[in-house]
Amino acid sequence: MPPFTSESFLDQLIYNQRRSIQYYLFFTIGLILLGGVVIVFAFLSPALFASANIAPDVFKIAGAFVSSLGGFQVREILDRKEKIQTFETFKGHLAGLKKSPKSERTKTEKQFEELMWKYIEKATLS
Amino acid sequence: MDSPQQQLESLSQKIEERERLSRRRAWLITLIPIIFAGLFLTYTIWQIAQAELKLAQKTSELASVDNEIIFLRTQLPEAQTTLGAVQQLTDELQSDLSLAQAGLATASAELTEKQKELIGAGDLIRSACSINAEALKEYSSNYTPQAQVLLYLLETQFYKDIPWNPGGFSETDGFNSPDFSIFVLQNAVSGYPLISLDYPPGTLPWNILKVTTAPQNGDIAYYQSGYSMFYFELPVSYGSSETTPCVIGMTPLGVIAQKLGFAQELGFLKVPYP
Repeated sequence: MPPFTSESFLDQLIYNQRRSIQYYLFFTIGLILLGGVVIVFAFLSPALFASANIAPDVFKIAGAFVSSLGGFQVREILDRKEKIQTFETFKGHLAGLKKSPKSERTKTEKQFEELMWKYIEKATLS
Repeated sequence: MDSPQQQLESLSQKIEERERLSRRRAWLITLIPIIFAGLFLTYTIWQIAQAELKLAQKTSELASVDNEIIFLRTQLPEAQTTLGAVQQLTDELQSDLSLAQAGLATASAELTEKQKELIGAGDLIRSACSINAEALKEYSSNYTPQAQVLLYLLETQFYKDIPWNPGGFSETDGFNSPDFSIFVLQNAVSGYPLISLDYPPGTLPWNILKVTTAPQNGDIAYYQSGYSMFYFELPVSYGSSETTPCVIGMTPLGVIAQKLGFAQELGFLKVPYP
């Protein structure tokens, strides 16, 4: 495992957030598809429900309900996207600092890193 | 004290752990409403199934009732025909019943009338005056017109069997009580009518004879009930001077002898014996 630096740590955080976004995206799509399958099944096979004395409309509503649960995951996705943007900004700012003369950047870099870590702790652990 | 490298690794692990927790929470948050919804859905389906079952039962019962109604409708014309026949029979029976009731009423009235007659006859029988034939022999031997009238009356009583008939005026057809008296007065004494033969049937004795308060043998006693009877004081027994007042005349039982007071008398009529 390579040693962590601020940049590599930010990359790691961005990677984690993207993986989470991917996970929630699949989860959301899975829920929507599951609800959609139930709705389509209720539409296409009314006779099956009728033979079991179940109203197809009940299953349509159930499918819609399951699909709507996917909406909750969108919030997670947007939240993580915002974090990624922030991490990217941090990363760009760090890179800019590294290009500046060392005598100028030492104090500024330290202040920035303190600010960044506070944000990271709050954003990822709270 | 950890190095900055270790701190970063620890922080990275914490973040990873935090993410896994967040994902589990997402599953949980999603599954809980799904489970509840599934439970509610199952309960709703169960209720619907129960309702459908009841509906099917009711539908079956309804179909059964419909079948019964259809069957009854097919039976209806026959039932109506039967009902009509029964109604007709009932009408006939009602008519017969009315006739029977009318007949019963008539019979009842006749029975009442007969009972009255029977009671009257009973009264007449109880008030009958017994005639001693042996004593009568001496009485009638003098052959006076009164005796001839008595003999004629006894003859009609015991041998001629003259019937009671309010519309008749002969020994064959019968008489009522006043007409019989008129007939006796006109015919009892052969060849010597005691009243004119011109008096027609329906002539009332009390309109043609004089009233007397001291009646003699052969006079007429007339009663409130319309009876007109011949008065005689007959010996109780042979050789006895004791007599009993009797009246003889036409009654519904025929010609009979009664005690004088068998009915309420209005008075006596004097017969013009020679």
